[in-house]
Amino acid sequence: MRSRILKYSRVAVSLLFLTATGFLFLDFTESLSTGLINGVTWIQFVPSLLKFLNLMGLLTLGFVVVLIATLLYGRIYCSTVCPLGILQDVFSRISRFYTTRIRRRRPRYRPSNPQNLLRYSLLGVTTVAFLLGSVFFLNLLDPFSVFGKIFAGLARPVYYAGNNLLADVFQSFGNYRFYHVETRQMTVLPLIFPAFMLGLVGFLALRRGRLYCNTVCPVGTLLGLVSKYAMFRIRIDETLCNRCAECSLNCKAECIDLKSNEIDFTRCVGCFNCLNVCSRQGIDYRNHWFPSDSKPSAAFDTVECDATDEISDGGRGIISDQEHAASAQDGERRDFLFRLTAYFVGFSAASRALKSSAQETDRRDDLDVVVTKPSTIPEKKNFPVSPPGSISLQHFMDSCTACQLCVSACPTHVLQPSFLEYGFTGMMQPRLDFHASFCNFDCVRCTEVCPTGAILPLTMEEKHVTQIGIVRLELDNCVVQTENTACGACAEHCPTQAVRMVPYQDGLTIPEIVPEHCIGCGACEYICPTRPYRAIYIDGNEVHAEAIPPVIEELDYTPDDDFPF
Amino acid sequence: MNRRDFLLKSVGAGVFLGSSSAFGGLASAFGAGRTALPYDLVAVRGGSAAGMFDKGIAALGGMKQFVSKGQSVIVKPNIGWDRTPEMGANTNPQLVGRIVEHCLEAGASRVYVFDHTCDEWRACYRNSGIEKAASDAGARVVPANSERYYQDIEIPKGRRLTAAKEHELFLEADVLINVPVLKHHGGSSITVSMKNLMGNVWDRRYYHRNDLHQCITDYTTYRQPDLNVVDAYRVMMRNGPRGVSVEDVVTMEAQVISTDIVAADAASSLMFGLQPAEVGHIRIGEEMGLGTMQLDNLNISRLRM
Repeated sequence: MRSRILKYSRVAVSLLFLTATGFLFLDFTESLSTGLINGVTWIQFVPSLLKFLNLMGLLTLGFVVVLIATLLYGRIYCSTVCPLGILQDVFSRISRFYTTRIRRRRPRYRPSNPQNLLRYSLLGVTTVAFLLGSVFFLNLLDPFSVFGKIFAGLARPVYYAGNNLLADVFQSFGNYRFYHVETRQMTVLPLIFPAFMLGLVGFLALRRGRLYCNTVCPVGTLLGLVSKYAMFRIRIDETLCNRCAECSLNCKAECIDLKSNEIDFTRCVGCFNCLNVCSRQGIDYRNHWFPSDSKPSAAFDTVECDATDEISDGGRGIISDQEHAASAQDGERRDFLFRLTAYFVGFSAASRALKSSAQETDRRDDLDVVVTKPSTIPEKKNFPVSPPGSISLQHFMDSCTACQLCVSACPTHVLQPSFLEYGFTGMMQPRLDFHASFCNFDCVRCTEVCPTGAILPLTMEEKHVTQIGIVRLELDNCVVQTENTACGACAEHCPTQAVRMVPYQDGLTIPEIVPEHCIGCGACEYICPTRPYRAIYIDGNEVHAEAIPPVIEELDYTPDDDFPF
Repeated sequence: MNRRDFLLKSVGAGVFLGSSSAFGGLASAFGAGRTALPYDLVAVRGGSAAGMFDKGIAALGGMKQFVSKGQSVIVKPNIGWDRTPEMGANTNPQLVGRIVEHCLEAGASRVYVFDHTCDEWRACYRNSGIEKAASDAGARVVPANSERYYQDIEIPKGRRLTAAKEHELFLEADVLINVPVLKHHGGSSITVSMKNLMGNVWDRRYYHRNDLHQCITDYTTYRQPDLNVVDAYRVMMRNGPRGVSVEDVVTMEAQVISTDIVAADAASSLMFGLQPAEVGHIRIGEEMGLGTMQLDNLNISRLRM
């Protein structure tokens, strides 16, 4: 009875986490409090570790909790908290309907050997790169970030579209209860990677359960090294086991080898499915440090498993086609490596092609700007604009795993995943895209939600003087000069008077910039009507600076309660 | 599809009606039995924004002069900016609420409140206080943040702006009450009633690209509000339209109410301290026959609280 509760509570907790985490990346209504968002991300291993290194605060010790929990109970993190892991369970669940319907007799999973070379290489590379200061491999492989990329990049547009459809239906009845959410700011190129990862994770989950977690995921491999010595581990009770192999065939980690009665606890994700399928309670979840039951001491020893797992090789054959499965694995591994290589080769080729094409076309304009007289001077931007609170491009690029949480949370959608603006290793790290939108002056949402500390918290007062980029003005593009008509859109939108209108000719006013007031919010660039090049734009600051707020002079005004007409 | 057809036909009908007040005239066209207005313009000083409106609209014979039973009404404030009411960047929320109440008392079937904002729209609606004040008063505060809400219109009398996209509710509503806030504006000198109608259309950049003052006036040739209520309770005297601090704002405690949009803007510009002819779109507005800035020729009621 106890065993059933274990699995059901695992399922309940995991669905709760999946729903909550998924919604973080979908919600556009700002209905989630920052407390809730931070609560969900607090326990995510890699974000928490990075935040700890960035902030050194006690409130960032979620990853320690994960390590302790793993040491006590095994990799339950992978089956309850990790959104990518639970997403794979959802896929597996789908595959179960599929396989039972098509081929009733085929076992769901077969025990297999660990992909040790691959998994320890990936863990090693990720760790070494991280110690050398690069989060590139975490960007690629951290499960929370991969989940975020998939949800924010691929699921969010679908969610928005669904909302907009609903809004359309209500709107046609004159009901404005739901509102349209803009999707025009989104770009397709940065979504190549999430699409690839969704394909990889989905394919492996449908075919091989948690193979991704036990082969590719560096967090899974790391926690596996810990869970090997966990206090509570699954154990087969040889006195009760009748070798029906139900547990083994239902193990999505493919880690129960009945020939040697060994469970590879480096790969066990703590799903407890085996406990529920056993008709004889021959498999159990027990305390190995302080065994309460002295009876099965012999069995206790043999359950000890070895990461290298050479012994199990000798035991092949109990399940007839295990040999076949192993060779199939080799094929899959090659296949996987091949695809990975092909992906990166293709990606860098695409990046070269894009860099060589001179000017990015502006497909994200919300307005149909009629270009009567095209502007002539190209914008000269040296650096991308990183979010306020990210201190410098260096800090940001060294800490951001591109989980896309800030992108989802940004109310103006100015934060967009980069393609190659930060270079290849910074792909999908968010940047402020002022052709898509601009940064709302009184908003610090991204600084509140960032789970890694790549964007550090800012108070509203700090945000108001944090200069993330600096304004540049090209009057030869400006309509006041080229068309001799009034405009002032830039000055109108500037929250700090870093651009203001000064007398020009024929009673007109023309923009003038005061760069030290500029915080780089991009409102001027966003609204500037000239095309193809803007007359006013923001160049990113390599290191964020402090803006000098405009001096507020007393207003010379004498109250008058008369009517001047 | 049917709906779109209907809307297109409505536009056609509007064009057919012809006169400069094609849609603006609808209210009076259906409002049989209304008496002629006692004044061309009412100016009020020295009270709260809502209190001044009570007194001003009473002088014109009450809201029944403009809204008949069963009509749908749009109250169009300025909600352009993510600013609190003290900043004077948006229309006074109490004033918006009170106008909504008057409309409902006059028998309006529905009152809509919205604006195509400059800053992020939900923040604008929320922090301006207008969303709460208007919905508390019984209005439907609706979104205007997406191009999907906008329908194509033709502006036959426009010189530079000959076509635009306008919020679909304008094509359905019977009455439009324009409730701008008077303030300084870096691009157009000041913003009052005519400039406030820029929030009706989707493509704001077109205006800036193609002679701002002319475009503002061109749109007004297409749609004249049935009533303009200029909120000059708090007036941003510089750094407009967004403002930098409360130091930019004076408490003028004034209000101008008129059916003549040019006259309302001319009176407001004088209160601001500018000659009406100095403001491009007011000057062009008179030139194009939208109203008069010669206030001496008007029958004006000057009220003090």
